[in-house]
Amino acid sequence: MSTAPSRRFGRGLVTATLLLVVGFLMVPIGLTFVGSFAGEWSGVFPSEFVTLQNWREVLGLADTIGSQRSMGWDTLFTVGGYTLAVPSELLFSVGLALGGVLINLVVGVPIAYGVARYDFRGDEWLNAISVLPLVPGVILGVAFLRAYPNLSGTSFGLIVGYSLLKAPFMVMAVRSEFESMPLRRLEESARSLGASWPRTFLTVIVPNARSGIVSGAIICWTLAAAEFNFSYIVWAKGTQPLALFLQRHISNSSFTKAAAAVSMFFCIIVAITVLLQQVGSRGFDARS
Amino acid sequence: MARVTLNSIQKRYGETTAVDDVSFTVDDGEIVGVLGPSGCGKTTTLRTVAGFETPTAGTVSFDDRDVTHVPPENRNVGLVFQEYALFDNMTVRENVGFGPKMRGVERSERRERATTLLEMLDIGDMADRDPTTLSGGQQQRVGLARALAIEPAILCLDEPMTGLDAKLKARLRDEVGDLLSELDVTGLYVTHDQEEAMLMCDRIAVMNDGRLEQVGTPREVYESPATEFVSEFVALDAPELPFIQW
Repeated sequence: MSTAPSRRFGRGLVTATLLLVVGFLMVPIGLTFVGSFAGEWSGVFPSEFVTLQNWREVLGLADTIGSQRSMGWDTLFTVGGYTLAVPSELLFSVGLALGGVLINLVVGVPIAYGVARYDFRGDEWLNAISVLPLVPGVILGVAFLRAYPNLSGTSFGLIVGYSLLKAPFMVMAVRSEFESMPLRRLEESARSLGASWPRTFLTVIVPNARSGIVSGAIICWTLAAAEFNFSYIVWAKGTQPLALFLQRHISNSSFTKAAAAVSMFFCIIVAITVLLQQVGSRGFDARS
Repeated sequence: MARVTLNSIQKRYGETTAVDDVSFTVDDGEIVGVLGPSGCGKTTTLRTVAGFETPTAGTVSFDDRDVTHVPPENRNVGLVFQEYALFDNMTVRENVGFGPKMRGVERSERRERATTLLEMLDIGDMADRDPTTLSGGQQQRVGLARALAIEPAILCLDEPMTGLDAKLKARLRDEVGDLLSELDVTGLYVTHDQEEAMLMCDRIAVMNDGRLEQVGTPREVYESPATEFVSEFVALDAPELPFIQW
């Protein structure tokens, strides 16, 4: 008996293509990570392993020259001669992006719910406005400065801007989650069982959409942290947003040091993704 | 449980009339089927009883209490849907315990009540499972247990068997039918399937185009249909009904 060629080759072909594509995408990241521990990187491959100097400089643990500001390590506490210090500026800029996510959670989830659940005049418009990433960061940045000069350069301005820019991704992720579940039936079940509307929304509707909310939050955070254009225009002084921190290390440094900065950024993204996922799966647990 | 009376219910959405002058009574402990083609207003009727629609005219009362304007969470109506609509963020037991929890029933008693109901529905060993891991038939049993847990004045079932395969449907129909009569549940059973209505319900209200065509026992509806529509709809691929004990 002969098997159809599609069956014989199909699976292998798909697997090979997938591996090739993933490999192609992962090699630069892997190489950068490896390169961040190298002392020299002038050819195709880095050399002079292994040194932690790049990481130390990027993390602000080693003395640097010129425009390389440290990351503002602050002492958290001291116990018996040992000091635990945290890179407070880094945490602060991680927090800027998280602030944007927080606003989107509060604003984006109800919008997504409204559009998915109700038919009303203008719902198509609201949907289009909230879902289309209408404004590029540069334009929003300039417009923002003109409209709200008081917010220029403030952390709050950055947070609001991030949330505005990235809201479409939150709304899209959450709305599609809402649309994939029997939203109205869930709501009616909970109501008939005696839950008020706010209680239904918070203990049934939102937790049932958790996977969409978590993925929306992860996308929002990642994109907000990497948002260069808006940050560049609005930021004035003080702690730098992550994207600017990254740019500083890429444009003013050796390639190996840039590799360390990029790798660190990558690690932060992985860490925040894992964190958001954990918070998502635990935080929504309504177990009694 | 209670006697539920619909008195000249009318529901209009702008120009269209979804339900027009519908009156019938569901006696205490009785299951009344609302039978009709899709779009005939049967679901709107059920939603009016549950409190999700306020009728344009007419009243709904439970026993002698007028509940026309009482919000759904204060009506004590159990709902079972075709889509199950289980809460995926809770275990099976928590789903069943949700209603009692909202009513302030204590935790240990909630647990006990849920366990009893789940055992009655033959899914006692699934209490700690995530509802998404259950089969369609099992999920529908959880849905039923959840609705029964609040000891509802009336249980509203909206096409609960639609979407299940024929064999499972037959089994569930027998089991659920027995359980509902054993518990002496007052029920409103909305379906488009005449066989299901005939087997599960004490009386049947046949609806067409927002109007009530006939209310009667399955036998009356089958043997002496009041209108041409009823005779056509009930006879339409009519079951042989050898299994009905007249």
